Amino acid sequence: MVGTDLRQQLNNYIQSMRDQGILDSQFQSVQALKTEENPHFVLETITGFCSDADNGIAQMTRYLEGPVVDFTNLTGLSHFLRGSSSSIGGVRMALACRDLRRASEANNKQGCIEGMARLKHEYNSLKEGLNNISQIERQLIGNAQRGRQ
Amino acid sequence: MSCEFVYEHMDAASAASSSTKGVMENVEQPHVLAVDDNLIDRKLIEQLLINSSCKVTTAENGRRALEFLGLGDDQNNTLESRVSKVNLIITDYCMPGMTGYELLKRIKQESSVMKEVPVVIVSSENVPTRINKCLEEGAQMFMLKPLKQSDVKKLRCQLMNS
Repeated sequence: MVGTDLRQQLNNYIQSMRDQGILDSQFQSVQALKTEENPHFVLETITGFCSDADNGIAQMTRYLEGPVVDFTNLTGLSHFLRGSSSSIGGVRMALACRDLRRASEANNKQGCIEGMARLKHEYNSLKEGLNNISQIERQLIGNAQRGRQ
Repeated sequence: MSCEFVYEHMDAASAASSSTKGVMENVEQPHVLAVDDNLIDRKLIEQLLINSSCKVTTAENGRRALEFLGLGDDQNNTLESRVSKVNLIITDYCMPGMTGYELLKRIKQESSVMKEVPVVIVSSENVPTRINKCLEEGAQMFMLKPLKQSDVKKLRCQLMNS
């Protein structure tokens, strides 16, 4: 029964993130890729995403805060992170990346400052949610491994 | 001259194989080269392909993809290859350095059997001029990211069984 409750807990949590618009159906498509041969797939994807996003946002902040704004690299990185967030289902973060990219392409410094702040906000919400999902996911994997003895 | 291929630059997911097959033959486990600069997208496409019984090699840019295919600038290209290492190439369009379109052009310029390998371009953006440009250059298909399992199944059916 514990296993069923945990799975239900995970589904409920994901649904609430969808209701808030933080995640879209793509996250469940990612979940669907998990197999018995690769039980850590979702965890690894989340870890990889957060690592890329942490580094990317730190770098973009440096590009924006330099004496001269590096719009070219800012554009490139916001495109890159838009891809990552979209692929993991982080729809609100993806939109924030898109808007930041547009501001950067227009060499609009103020727009980029605002866009960056919004991106950080969206990423923090998404990251918190993904970390919570990871915790439940880890328990599920642990239970499954124990159950297979 | 013998054309023995040593499989280099393989990622964890792919195993070395000694089989040499024609490009479009109906192989049990097609070998796909997936090219994308984005780590998450590489991970997703790799798992999608593994779940569709494909062998996968991933590359993070066009230069590494060409090296894997034996078409790198500093590689000996004078051998007329009778076989290709891969049955399909899937490449992202937007990549720094060499774009997927440039990679496609490079492959299609080959005089060897490499130019017969189907190349699928994927992109997160639906830009008709971009799509047409790729199809005109010889891309087999253009697909929108993120790919779904159904996309990969369709790809497999259409390209591997002709």
